[in-house]
Amino acid sequence: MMKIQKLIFAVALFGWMSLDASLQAASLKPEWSAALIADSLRQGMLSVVRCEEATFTQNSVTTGRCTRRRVVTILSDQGDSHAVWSTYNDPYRQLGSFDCRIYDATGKELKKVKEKDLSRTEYSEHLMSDGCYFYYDPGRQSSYPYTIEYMWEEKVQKGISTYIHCQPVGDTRQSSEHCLCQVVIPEGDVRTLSRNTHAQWQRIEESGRVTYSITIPPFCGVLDEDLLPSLHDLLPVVGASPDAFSRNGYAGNLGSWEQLGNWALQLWQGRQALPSVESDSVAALTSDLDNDSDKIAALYQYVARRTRYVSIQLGIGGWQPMKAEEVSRTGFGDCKALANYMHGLLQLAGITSYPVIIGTRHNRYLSEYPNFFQNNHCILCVPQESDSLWLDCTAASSIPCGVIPNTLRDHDCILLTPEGARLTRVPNPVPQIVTSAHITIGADLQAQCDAREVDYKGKSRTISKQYGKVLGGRSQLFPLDPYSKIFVPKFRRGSAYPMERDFTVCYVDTLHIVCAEGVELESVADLSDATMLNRRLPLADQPLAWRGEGMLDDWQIEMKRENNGVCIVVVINRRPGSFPASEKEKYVEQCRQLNDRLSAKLIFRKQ
Amino acid sequence: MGSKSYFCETFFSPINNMNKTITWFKIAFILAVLGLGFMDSALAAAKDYKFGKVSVEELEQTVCPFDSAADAMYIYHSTSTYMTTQTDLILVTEYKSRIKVLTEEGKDEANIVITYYNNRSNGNPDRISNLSATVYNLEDGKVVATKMDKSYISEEQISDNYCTMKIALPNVKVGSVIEYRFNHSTHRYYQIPTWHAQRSLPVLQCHWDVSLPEYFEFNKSMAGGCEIHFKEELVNVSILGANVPAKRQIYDATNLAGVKNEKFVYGADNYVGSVNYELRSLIIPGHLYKHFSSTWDDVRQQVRGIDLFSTHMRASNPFKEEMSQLIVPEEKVLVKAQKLFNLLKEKVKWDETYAFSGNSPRSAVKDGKGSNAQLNFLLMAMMRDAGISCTPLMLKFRNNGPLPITHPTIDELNTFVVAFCDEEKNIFFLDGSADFGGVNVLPSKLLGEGILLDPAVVSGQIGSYRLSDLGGSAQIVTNQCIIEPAGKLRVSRRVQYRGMAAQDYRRSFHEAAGDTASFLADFEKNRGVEVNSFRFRERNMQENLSYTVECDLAGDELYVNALVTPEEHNNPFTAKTRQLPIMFPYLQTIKVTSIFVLPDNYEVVSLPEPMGIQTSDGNISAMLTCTDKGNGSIQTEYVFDVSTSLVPVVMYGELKEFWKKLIDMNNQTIVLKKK
Repeated sequence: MMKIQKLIFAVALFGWMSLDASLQAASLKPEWSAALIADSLRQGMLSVVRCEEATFTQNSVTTGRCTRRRVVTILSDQGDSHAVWSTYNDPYRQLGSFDCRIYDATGKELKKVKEKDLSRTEYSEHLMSDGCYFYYDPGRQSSYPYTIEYMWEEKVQKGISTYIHCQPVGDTRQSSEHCLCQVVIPEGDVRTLSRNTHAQWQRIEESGRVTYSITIPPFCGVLDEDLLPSLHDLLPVVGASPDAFSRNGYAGNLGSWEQLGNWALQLWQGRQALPSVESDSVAALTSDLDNDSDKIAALYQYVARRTRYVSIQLGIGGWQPMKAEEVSRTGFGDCKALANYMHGLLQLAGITSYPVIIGTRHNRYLSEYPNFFQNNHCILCVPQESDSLWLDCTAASSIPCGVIPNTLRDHDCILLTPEGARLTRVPNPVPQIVTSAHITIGADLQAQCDAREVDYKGKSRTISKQYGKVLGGRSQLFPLDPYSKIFVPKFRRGSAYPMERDFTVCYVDTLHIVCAEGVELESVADLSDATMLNRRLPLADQPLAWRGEGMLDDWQIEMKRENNGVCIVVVINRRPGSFPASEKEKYVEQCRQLNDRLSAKLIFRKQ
Repeated sequence: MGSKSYFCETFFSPINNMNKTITWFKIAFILAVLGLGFMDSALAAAKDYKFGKVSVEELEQTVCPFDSAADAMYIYHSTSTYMTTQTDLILVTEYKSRIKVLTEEGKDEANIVITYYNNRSNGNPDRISNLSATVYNLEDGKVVATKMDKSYISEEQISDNYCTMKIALPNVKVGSVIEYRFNHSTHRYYQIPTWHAQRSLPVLQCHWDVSLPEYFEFNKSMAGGCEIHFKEELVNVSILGANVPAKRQIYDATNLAGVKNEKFVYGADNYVGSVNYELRSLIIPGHLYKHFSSTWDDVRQQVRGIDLFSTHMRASNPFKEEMSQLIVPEEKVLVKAQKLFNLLKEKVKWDETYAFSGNSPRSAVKDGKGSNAQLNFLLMAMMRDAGISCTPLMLKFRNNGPLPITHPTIDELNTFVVAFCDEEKNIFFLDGSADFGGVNVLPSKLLGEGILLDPAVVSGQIGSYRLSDLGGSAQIVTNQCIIEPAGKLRVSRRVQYRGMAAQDYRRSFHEAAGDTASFLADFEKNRGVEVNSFRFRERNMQENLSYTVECDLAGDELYVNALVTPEEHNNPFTAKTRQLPIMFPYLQTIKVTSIFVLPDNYEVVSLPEPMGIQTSDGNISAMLTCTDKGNGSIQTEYVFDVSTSLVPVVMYGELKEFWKKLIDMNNQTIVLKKK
């Protein structure tokens, strides 16, 4: 009996003490004092994430909850946007509880923010969606640094496709001190992701449940510079998802990208049927054509004429396409609806095609961690004997049939074939931008340039402007690079980041310069070669050619006399590639060389 | 989602407390109302369009008769506004539009967005009703109609006060004609929606019919330069169970140019062809007499009558003690004012919001932050204690356009700044939001038009001011250059910033938050140089830079830009025509003095002739002079002066030509030759 009394007393005392402790804690959190942030983490930064914690607890196969905390110290008012919080709600994920505190530089509590203080908006850029945002913006504070702490809970229902996806640092000029993520499940294993960090997930099995956890060590923020790799490849991100999942009764598995594709494939089945009026149209459009590529082009143009893009994000997380007959009736749909419609039309023409799930933001899938967030688009692949055709029906009115848009070139993707989904990659043809210019240098030495530029989509624009400089009334200095394609990157001193270019492009510029009577090419002033300076070039006999091959660019400049003028062809080939920081200096040097060559000027003189 | 957008609301409330995150919404508004063309056209015989009767000729049209580049055009738009009663007065506006799709881009006109007032908590939301939309196509020579599908209408509550309705219309192709109508009803009968005759698309014909009982007296103002025909007739309407006389006013216009977004303009929607009604008084005989506004004196009286405002005006000075140590009675007013302003900014931060009366100034002292109004009430309390006469200048944000000339109303006022005068009765302005400014240096949003609450306190005469005309902004540049024989120019550049130019500079310097490399990136890119050293002293607003410029060489000759590198790089006025007036951010002078020291083995061949250009009104001018100093050095002087903040659109051609010459002046060269 005594024991019990003591116990009660102890519990009461402990309870009282801890209550007291929590009261004190509410008014002062010395651990959030800005002075505790290491100099290495705050140098050049606008904010530091002090703590990012997420614990997901699975309650059943389809439900769970995620408890989260995020504490950010804002170092100056330029970092105000780093203090903004928002969460997206849809039928699968709902905001449970919310609490927020604001502390001054020493950790003294200044303000409490409650759930009722949150703003809510259903605003979307779509015609329809079933989600809404809750958000909070603390705005300008009276003094800096200050710290904001968010604690909230998210309820997950109707199927779990992701346990946790956590990226503590979301922007440049932001560091993080501490990040802990945990997943608690009754049994079994989870799929895990840890990227751009050495941290590893740990699995602990105790008292009848399994806990996965990972702690990301302090991360020093990124300062922007030229040729910086995508933040996606620099900022630490961790995640965990179930192997098997279910959404609206459609079961799937995230064991591989193909399995994710097979899940999507179920949602596409039986949605291609089209009314008879469409069969008539297809017949009318294609019966006279004798090869498939003409038929495909005809149907692609038909889709361009008949439809427009309208974004509709409803049901099954926006993964199931509208029925083809519905697109036929309304003349609009989102990317998957338009691809599905084209898919149905091609079926009527007896041509096989496969819907393609793809992302516009990421070139490469995380191979070990199939997920939903890397995909946001849908196109169609039409297999051909030689090269397959890739059709982006969303852009049908602006991109010719078979031309791959820049946003999709060389991207990983999933092909939905009747035999099952296949992981593949969109081809990577080099897009050309071709400019052809006719320049006349008049008796007054003014240079008038009329140029036509055609981009890889076949879109052309005309440029008409004056170039060059008339100097002292007697000379015209004509730059070799009238369109300013010179690019010498700037890197930060001591920056340890690799340099990277993730796109490819080829510029072909042809300039025909014609001089008026009495005006003559005197010389080519070339900055890279002192001996060339002021030299009269015998261009008639011997065309002048300069070329270079660099780490990320090849280039070639050719000049020759032509009638009573000069013809110049400049080809610059920019390639994708990634090099370590130690190579930066070398690259800058290469760019300077090209820069110097392109800075060369033709000097024309009046006799 | 699409470009067709309606806004059933007088958008700019006196105190703009809309949430930041929904700025898209302003964009939708601007798209809907943007632009003003000054398309003079005789009113052609207006066609009588019947809703639902689309002709084969309309479907066969392929191009807008007066704008071959248009993606789509209004065949007509027609609006009708009237009062009705249920238990309460309701203002109903019926909208009808017929749009012809001319290009692939024009297909987006079939995505319609209607934004309307819908307060989540107070009830009485606006209502959209009688919605009907049809798409017409020509198929085998026959007109085929496809009605809208109700399953493709959605509504979003985008903020506490506003909802949008989105509609996607089916079966739209190039060549289609879209026709739709809807009614907007509101309990806020006193807010007549502004009628925008001109739109972003060209308009072939438009019509507004507004019938309001004589109980309501409205002030009416027209904007824009297009020709709008007006007629009026007397009718009877039924209001509150009674048959009452009403005025039916009818506006018609034809062939209005579409207006796209143009740069160098603030509050563009104030310059598009439109008609605005604002309620002056409501007189229901025997029931109600309510006067809303008439003169600025009435407005002043109204403001004084706002309880909160008058209480805040009497706020006491919380910084008496600090001031007693700071202020020396013999000091000039301007010195005192700046000191007080600095003290206030040190004690209370601006919270990035603007207000007219808002919360109490005392609470701002407690929180250490507050709106510009809270700071300004405090500043006036401090000034009064220091013996400086001051009064609010009540202001309309620059982006909201000019103040009404003939029909003053309190609704036009967004906030206020502090006006005070010095010993010589010169007037000056200060505002709590000027984080990087001070006396007469205010954020660009505040460079609008305002009226003094109490003119007698400060000037006694002029009651209204246009703050975009505040002077004193300048960049004074001195370049010291040494020309090296190999054609390199070593430049040390010193810039003194004053006024609004200093404010801009300080802000961008502050925004870079210590990242000098990105701060200098634009300067380096524009001038094609790499900066070797950089220093900025905020105390005296002086910037020091050094860099090297590569000169052009040809034969024995060396060419040096007379300004070292051009100050103006591009002509921003290249569009053939312009619809909106041209507005400059503020008045400013840029003066560049450059001294070039020649290498020993070079001599001067030629210097640019002295040049001077100016607009016909003399308000914008530039000049360049170059002098051979004889001792192996050359001095050039360039002055560019903008002394107006507003250039009427009729001067656009002249301005274009001026800028062309200005760019030419910026590219003048000094020619040197090897001895």
